[in-house]
Amino acid sequence: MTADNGTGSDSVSRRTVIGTAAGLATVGLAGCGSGDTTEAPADTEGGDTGDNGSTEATEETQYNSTALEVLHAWTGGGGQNAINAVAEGFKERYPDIETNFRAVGATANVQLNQLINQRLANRNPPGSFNAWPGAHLTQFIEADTQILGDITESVWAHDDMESAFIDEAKELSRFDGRYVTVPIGSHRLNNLFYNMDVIESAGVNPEDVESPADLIPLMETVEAETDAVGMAQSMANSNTQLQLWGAIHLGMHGYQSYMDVMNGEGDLEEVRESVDMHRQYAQFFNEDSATVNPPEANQKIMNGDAGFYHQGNWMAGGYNANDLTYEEDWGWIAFPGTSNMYTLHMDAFVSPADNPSPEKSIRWHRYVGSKEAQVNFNKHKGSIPLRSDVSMEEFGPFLTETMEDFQNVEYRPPTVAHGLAVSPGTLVDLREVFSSNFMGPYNVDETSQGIIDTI
Amino acid sequence: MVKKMGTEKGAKNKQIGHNQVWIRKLTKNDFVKSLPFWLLPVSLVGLFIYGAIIWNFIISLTDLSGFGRASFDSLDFDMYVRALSDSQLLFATQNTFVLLVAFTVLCLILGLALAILLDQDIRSRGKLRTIYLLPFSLAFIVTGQVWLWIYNYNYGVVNTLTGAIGLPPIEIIGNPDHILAAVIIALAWQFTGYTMVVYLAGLRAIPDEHFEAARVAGAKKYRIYWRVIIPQLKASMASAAVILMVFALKTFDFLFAMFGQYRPQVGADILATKMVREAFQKLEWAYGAAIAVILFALALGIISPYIYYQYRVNQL
Repeated sequence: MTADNGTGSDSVSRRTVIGTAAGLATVGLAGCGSGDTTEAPADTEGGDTGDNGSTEATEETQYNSTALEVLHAWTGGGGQNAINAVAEGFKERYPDIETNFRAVGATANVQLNQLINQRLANRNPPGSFNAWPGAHLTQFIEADTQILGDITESVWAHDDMESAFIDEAKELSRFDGRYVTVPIGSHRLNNLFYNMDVIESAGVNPEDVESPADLIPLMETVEAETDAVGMAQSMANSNTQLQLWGAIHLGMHGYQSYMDVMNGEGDLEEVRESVDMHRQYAQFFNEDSATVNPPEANQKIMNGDAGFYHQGNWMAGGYNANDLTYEEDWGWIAFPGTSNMYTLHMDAFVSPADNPSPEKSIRWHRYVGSKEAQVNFNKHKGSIPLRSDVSMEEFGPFLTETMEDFQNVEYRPPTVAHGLAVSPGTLVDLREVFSSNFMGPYNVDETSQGIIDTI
Repeated sequence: MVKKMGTEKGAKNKQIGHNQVWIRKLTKNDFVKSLPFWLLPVSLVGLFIYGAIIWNFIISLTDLSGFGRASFDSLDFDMYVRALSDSQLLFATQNTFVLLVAFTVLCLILGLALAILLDQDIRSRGKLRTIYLLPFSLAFIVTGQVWLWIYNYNYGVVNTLTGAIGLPPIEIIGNPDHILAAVIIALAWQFTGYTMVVYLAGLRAIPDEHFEAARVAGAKKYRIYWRVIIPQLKASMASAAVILMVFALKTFDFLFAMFGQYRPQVGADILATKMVREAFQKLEWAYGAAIAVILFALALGIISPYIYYQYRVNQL
């Protein structure tokens, strides 16, 4: 009896292997063949505007046999729930489109960006990939050949999408008048989180802090009065150091000085001052910062091992997941000196040229821009939608506040550490400047000179 | 007439005979006879290894970067000039050398000590040998993660021990002065077992008589090892050293497993990590290829004296 079962499962597994092999061979063939079909139908289809998504789904569309491959960076937590919600919604609306969502995770998209670079350099693009819009995409735009597809007509003109999006999102998605990407959500990056218990037992009030220098006495008090360190920081990757410096520079010297640095016209003395302030912050970091990643550093806020933590507002996802209550267990202020700013981070989906599944990719990008996808994604991700016509009802107090700030602040500086302000090559070089000179010991001169020289 | 025909026929026969001889000669030729045995492997190795090395070298002479296609119009050594003036690259080269020498020497000394101890007549030495060899069977991702925990500032074994003897905790990973040593120790832990096995094989090959003779002559035990046994382990030492050094040059996978990225903490950057960052993060293909050629030249520089030595002693 058991022996029978044994042989039975054996033969099944062998059949499965053969089936899989055949399937792979078919996919391989499909991959080869798709090159011929890429060009033809894309524009003719996009031309029929005015249809909304639901009627269009019932239309007869000729899809090629390649599954829609979407590469993204969300492997866990809120990000994973967010992309899953969007993927499910897409499958409901387009049940006949075969999809292949692939997650490639790592801090600050390092791994994903690299995989995409390799795929695009090898002329083997996916149907769509997740990336930062803005300066991050210039490497593709400036290439000799057209690497990104033009989705102005097929996606942005469809269903009046263009008028529904906010201006910043449109500007960062458009190069020389061509749209190449659809943003899906935005995080605020200039947040300073704190643990309520630690703050209260130290007897400090973060609301009084008006400049980066004002925070130092507070961190001193936290370390003197409690067991917690003044500031949590992750230095497993230098990107977080770059990010913190960006926040300090904005807080000390304001929007214009920051933008000048990002445009290559920075003032060395001002950069020196902000780097030196950063050095002073470093004495309040947790000692194990070199080995902890950003979520682990956030854990120190949750456990009460640290007083303050500068990060993007995605860290709120960790507090929610651990049932910590906003304004009871944890709180936040805009990073000192940046209360009239919303440091802009944005995630987007990009459509490569020579798309292996052009029609499916158009449907996917239209869906990413839809109200449904924007709400579903952002409420799970802890970010805010980029359409001005969505209701914030489902978003809870923290995100509603973020949305209001977004609309009311004076400046929306693009993030440097997450690709909106500088090109990818410059970003890698900036990380090197911090890796080599500012991960302990902290060399202020080399770092500030390095920042100015690199950009 | 008949005679003439006869001679024609004869010539024809001779011709056929000549062809047959030629074919027979060909089939008897050693070179032709050996073709089926080496032609396929040699062409595969030629294409995928030497072809790739040559292609990589050619790319390093272009200035290919980004998503463009390489232009072969002007080939020059610009990338190598750039390498010479790149302080990060020089720092990475220096680290590579320190790692190479320290790691190899550490493994050779520890491996020799363990091999000599295990060669003694001690109980259950077979099991002990397995225990020392076990780390070698671990995947780098495991070793990297385990040592990261050992070095952890708050709960790592190292700082628990220093705390127990009343010393303040040491920052290891975050300190550029300590990190390379930390990486070398972790690597040596993994590779000492392997070195020990190579030495053990060498020790077993030494006849007992040498030992006996030295003892009869009244030599002390440590002198026997120092004068008689260790000199005979030269060949084992050379082959272990080559393997260890070549491995040290491409420690990339271990560093990646330890730090989860292509940029190790400051102080532990080596040529291999630098090469991957240039090529795949910054899309500086030509520069990345030039670093690869430099790395290849270093590896060749290490291997060739060994190969020459083997050739001299007629083992090749």
